[in-house]
Amino acid sequence: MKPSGKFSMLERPKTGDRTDETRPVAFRGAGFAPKAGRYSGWIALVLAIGLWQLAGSAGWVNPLFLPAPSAIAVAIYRLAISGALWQHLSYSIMRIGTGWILGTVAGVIVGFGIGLSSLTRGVGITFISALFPIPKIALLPLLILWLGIGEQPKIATIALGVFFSTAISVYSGVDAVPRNLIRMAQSFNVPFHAIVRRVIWPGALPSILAGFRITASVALLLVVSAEMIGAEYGIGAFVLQAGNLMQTDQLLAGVVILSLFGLAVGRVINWLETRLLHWR
Amino acid sequence: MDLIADHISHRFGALEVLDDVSFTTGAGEVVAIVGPSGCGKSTLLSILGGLLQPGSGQAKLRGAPPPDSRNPLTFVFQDFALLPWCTVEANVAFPLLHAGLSAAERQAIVDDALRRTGLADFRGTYPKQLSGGMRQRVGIARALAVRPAILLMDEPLSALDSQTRELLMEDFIRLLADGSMGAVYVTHNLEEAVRLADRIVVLSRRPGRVREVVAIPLTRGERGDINARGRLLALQDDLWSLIREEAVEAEREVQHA
Amino acid sequence: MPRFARLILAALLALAASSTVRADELLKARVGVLRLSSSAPVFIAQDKGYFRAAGLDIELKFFDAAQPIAVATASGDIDFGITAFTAGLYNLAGKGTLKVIGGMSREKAGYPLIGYFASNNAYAAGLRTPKDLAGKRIAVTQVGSSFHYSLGLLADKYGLKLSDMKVLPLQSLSNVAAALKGETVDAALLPASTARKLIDDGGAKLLGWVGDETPWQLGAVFASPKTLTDKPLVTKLLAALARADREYHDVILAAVADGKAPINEVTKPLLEIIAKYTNLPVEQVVGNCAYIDPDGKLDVKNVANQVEWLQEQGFVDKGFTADTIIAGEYVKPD
Repeated sequence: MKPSGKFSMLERPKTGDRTDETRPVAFRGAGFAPKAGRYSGWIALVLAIGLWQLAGSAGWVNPLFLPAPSAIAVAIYRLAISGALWQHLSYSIMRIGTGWILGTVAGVIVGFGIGLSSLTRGVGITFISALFPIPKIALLPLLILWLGIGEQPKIATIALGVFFSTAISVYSGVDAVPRNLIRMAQSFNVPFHAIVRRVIWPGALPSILAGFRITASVALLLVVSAEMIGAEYGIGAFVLQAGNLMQTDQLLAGVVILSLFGLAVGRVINWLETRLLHWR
Repeated sequence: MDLIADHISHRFGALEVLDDVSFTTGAGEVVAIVGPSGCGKSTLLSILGGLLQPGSGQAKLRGAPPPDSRNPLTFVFQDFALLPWCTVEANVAFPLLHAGLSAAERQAIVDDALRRTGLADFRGTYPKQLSGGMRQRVGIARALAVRPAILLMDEPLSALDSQTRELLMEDFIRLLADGSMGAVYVTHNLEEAVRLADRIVVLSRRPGRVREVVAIPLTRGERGDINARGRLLALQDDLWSLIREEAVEAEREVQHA
Repeated sequence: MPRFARLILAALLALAASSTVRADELLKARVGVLRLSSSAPVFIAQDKGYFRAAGLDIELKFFDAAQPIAVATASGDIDFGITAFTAGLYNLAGKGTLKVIGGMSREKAGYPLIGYFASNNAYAAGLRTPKDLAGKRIAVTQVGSSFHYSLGLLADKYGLKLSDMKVLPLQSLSNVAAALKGETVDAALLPASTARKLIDDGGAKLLGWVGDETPWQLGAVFASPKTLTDKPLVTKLLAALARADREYHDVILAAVADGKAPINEVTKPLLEIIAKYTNLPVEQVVGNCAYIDPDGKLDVKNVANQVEWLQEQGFVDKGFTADTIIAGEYVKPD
């Protein structure tokens, strides 16, 4: 630096005394990196349940409006020892399972059709956009007219709900497969069916599995609607009956069972993801 | 087998990218295509490799491919285009799955390609576990496995850091040394072009036209010699002076686009 | 735009109230009702100013199902509820959150409300009278509903076993109608208003009316324990309702013949009031007149029977009797 009194824009005067003292540079990069603690979620859950129980036991809230966790636990226990729980569960699992599989198979086929063929795409997207937002409950009287009140309309209700979400997640998954991988396969003269099986299917799988997470919840949501149709057994029928009879402890017991079921399904999908998507 | 660009023109909508480009790549010959960014180099390569229909003109082949070639025109991609869900070995085997080979034949070919690219110890790893350079080696092994007559290389080094680039450049020189494979090598890096190519096709800025075809008067073997360094640098400077002005204009244009 | 109109009306009333001294002395209360003719006296009392004359400022809150009225009464969102007895209502009452203070609609011979209906196929196959329902698949809206109980009464009357009948809860009237029309059930219990269209279109056949087979106390007036402490309010409300009950009975019910009220200059004003509040044309109101005791009496014996039956079926928690849910000081027993 020149010892001149004038400085250009980029030059700065030297300031301060030169000493040999050092001081640490202050750390200022803290925060903005939240980490979910291993136990904090569980502790919060236990605290919330504890508080809820306390509110019930102390008589702060009317047990009719908010039954205490203990009352719900008793209701579940009674249901379990009477054997009715397994009957309800097995019916619901049968309906959810069949409906989900049917809806998923159809959704995957249509989703691939939309993702791969221009004709199917035009027709399919129009139909899905038009039909997806229809609340399935509004269709119940029609489903009863078409399919009666046996297992078919119940399974159809679930399958319909699952179908649309699956079709949408599959075709967006197919759309999201990197084009360069498809061009690569074409550049090696890989036949169409092999590109679909070896490039597009695995490439779309993450989004398909994410779709499964949603459709599993959709199936659980819809089992209650489905079992509106003259179901004698089933968790949904149980919840509906408890609601109709204002047996709020049983109502919440059914809800707890449904959410436990949801958690279990979520676990299964986690496991599937780690198995199938280990390459990510 | 020769690969001929025969009066190729192409446009994307209103954007004219290639205008009447013609040149020939002879058997065993390495032709580099250089030019300012956006001049249609990669588009031209896609047309030559049959991945894109040209607006007019044609990509043509002359003469029979070598009898053992399973895919005479084979790409090496800038972004490697590896299947992330497949191991190194499965990626190299991928183009062979539908070639009517027995499992043992296929395994032998894959082993050979992995050995030639120094990947033998990485056969079980997944692409995301590999460095960029190793990933491109997988891309090269995959190309070698189908015994190409002409490699279509689309900026194969531009996604890599400079040290890795140098190492892979040495690999390329070695692989192309015996003249059994030709290549069309698209790059914006003039050093790569002068080190690798027999001839360099210089494209103008968009729409890309052939401005000049520069022959490199040294064999690739001679270019490794310490005394050849100066001549190569001079060649590189000549090319740069050809391109520079247009590169400046092209850069501005890209920013406006 | 009825809501908008009501808003304007409310605003005008508020304006009027502020200008008169007497209006300040009116007791305010909210009454939950369904838009059904079974609440006809409420509409008459409101429209003809009987509540106001009794010193009440009543706001009607309209619901679309019986259950929410019971819940809203229990939670204090409304002061009085007027609707049909259901298992859910009894479960709320059994926990002490509401009490019955008076009678409302009844199933009574000659006054069609709930009917037994057969699908065309079942009818053709010989299902012709309510007695034939044994062993059939019968749709109702919900377990423990008025329809379910009616079926229970029928079973008792003819010594049929309810367990022999396959009772299918389909949750909504439209689902029940669809199942009947679609021949997926043999029979169903439906209110006359829902069934009319089905019968007119030839989608089902009428087997009979519950009122003719097994009369019972269908609906009631009820209130939360908090409201019950306000004795003047309850007394005035019941008095105003009794006045309307009497008028409705003498003018409309007394004139009903063949299940239908005539339309003449005497009945027309009241029919029009009912039509206005139920959003139905007068022609439909006349065929659907719920019987209501002229003195607002409650069939206490039948209520006890309902509670016992529902408890026996497991739809209502055991551990209370009808006496504990009836506010004896207000109810006029039949």
